[in-house]
Amino acid sequence: MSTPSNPIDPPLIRLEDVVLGRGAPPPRFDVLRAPLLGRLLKARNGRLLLQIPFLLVAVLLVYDGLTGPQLAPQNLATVTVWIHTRGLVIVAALLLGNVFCMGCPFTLPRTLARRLSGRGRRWPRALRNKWLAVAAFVAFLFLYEWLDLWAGPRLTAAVIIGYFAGAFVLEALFAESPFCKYICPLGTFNFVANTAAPTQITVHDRDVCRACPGKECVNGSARVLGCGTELFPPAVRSNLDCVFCLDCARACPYDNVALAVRRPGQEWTAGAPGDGVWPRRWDVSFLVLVFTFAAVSNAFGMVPPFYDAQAWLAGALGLTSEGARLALTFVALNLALPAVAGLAAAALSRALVGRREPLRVAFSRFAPAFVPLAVAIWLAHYGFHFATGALVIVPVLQNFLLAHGLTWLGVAPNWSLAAILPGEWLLPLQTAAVLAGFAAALFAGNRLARRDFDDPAAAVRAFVPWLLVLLALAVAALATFNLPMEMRGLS
Amino acid sequence: MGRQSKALPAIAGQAMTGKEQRARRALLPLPPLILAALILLLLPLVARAHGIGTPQRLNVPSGPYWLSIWTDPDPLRADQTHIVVAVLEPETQEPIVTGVEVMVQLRSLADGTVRTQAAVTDNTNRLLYAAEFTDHVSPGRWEASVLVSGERGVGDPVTFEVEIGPARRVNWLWVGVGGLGAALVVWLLSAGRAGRRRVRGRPTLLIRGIPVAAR
Repeated sequence: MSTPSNPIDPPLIRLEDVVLGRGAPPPRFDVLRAPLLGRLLKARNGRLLLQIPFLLVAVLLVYDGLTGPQLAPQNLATVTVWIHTRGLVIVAALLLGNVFCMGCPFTLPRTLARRLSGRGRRWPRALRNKWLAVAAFVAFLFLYEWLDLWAGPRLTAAVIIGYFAGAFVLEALFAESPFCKYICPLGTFNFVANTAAPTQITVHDRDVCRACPGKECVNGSARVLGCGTELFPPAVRSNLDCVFCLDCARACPYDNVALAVRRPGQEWTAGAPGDGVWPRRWDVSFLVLVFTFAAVSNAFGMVPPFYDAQAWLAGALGLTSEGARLALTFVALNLALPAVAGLAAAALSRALVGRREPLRVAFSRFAPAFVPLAVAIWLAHYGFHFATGALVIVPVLQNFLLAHGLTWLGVAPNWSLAAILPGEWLLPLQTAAVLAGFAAALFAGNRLARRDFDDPAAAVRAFVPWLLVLLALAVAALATFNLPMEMRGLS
Repeated sequence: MGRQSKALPAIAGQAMTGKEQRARRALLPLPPLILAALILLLLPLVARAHGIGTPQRLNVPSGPYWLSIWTDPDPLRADQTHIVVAVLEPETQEPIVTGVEVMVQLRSLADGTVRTQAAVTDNTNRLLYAAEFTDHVSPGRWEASVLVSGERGVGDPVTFEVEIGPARRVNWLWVGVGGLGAALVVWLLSAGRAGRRRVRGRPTLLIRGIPVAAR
């Protein structure tokens, strides 16, 4: 057995006895014990199998973004990032798990950065929460709109380069993968979306972990790094913060870590009354609300009423700067609106059941119920773009190769390739997705209410204010999708 | 901590006083009003829109310009017909967004009806020009023609044929709203059934002959 290479974070050790026994249940099916796939995933360089192809793609996108045609629908960078990656991320979250964080090439310099920095400093205590992630997530959405990132191959390439630089610098300066855990907007998106995933890290036998002296899953060993985001597998109850790197499984000397198959969204409603799996924290709950409101506002930003609103703002407030108008709109729709709606719903919920509990508790109780609706809306939005433009990668790639004198894929781009689904299917499918998300939110909210309130009438009263918010979001999403949506980056 | 009931506040020994309850009741109308306002605020206005859509012609030389043309949606319908044009600078392939006029003409191949629109910089995509023929065309086959003029001169017309289908019969917004309503009804019915089941099934707990709320 290897000895720990660096001491475990003391708070984790102190929490150990508390959290052991409260993690996810032992797996019924462990993906890591599946023939071939399990061995591949757990191989020492297993993550590289995904990361290296992703890295090559990223390099290609940067190259074409900087040197290729600057019309977005004809450039690999814009088409791949804004049509394919976004569509596949959400589909992968629902079908597999956080494979995009698993294969993230931005973390490839992690090992090098860690060697350069030694162990690095601890991330400042004041920032060890999701507030920065919320800000980065909204800022990213704002920059996307303000700078027309979808229309700018060079800007898209710059974003990719910025990601590499940001991940490397923060990894070099700090321990605990702060870029992934506290900042990365894509990671934040993936963390929340993957709470719906059908897979989760857990352990086979908690007693093994209790007796384990080295805790290599977190501390790492001489051969393998420990968990970058410092999650302790027997205590993992949620996919929040888990990048699916599987370093814990590779580091475990007892082969005790599992990638369990579970019921999708299981973590939303699991836990004892008053003690759900999700932490009752302002930052986490607010992040989920922002994630949900942003799902609607992001789609809403692509239909004309959004531009009518911008024009109205320009006239009513005299805001001539587009950036200022967009900033105001994004703060209003993605920060102020979720805050006001969430606080109002929490206050009303608490008042209706007559509980004297912190507003934070009332605010966070139903936050998990928003995830299914949010995921459904993101799926309907990004899935729409993917369905209408997935095949455009073929002519864009043909064009790229031809521009470099290569005729491997033919002598002329076939620009007629675009959609993978008939156009008339899309709106019914989007409607079905939103309805399914709303039904799942209703189911989750109902279970959360019944979990925390023994009295069914009180459970209904507690949930109703949140239900109104969910309903408003679902109706807003349906109305938005019924407007023809701009197909950015589609050839 | 065990399961909570109305009679047992979350924080033991901290039941609300009458004054606090009155204060809460006074505040009760405020959150619903805020929520109602939010719901109204979130409902987007129904309006016309442009997308990019199905490629019809891409990187076609047209005099001193290159044109790329899309139709949206796919398939075109009489109640939604948009033609979107990208005007490119041939050498750099950079979009030209100022100083050009883009005219789009639709001619019915069935009866010769002609509709002409000046394509304007699209609201939702400032790099493209879009012309909208919504509700100005009938189902059938049409020939579209795009002509660009500007400081560099006048381009050659770029033409293509499109099939326009009948207006959409199903309003999916109302289908969706109906679905939401149905989900709510199912939830309300199941919540009501759960409540009745609990009332019937719960034995009265007596302590020294005094009924107390079950936990």
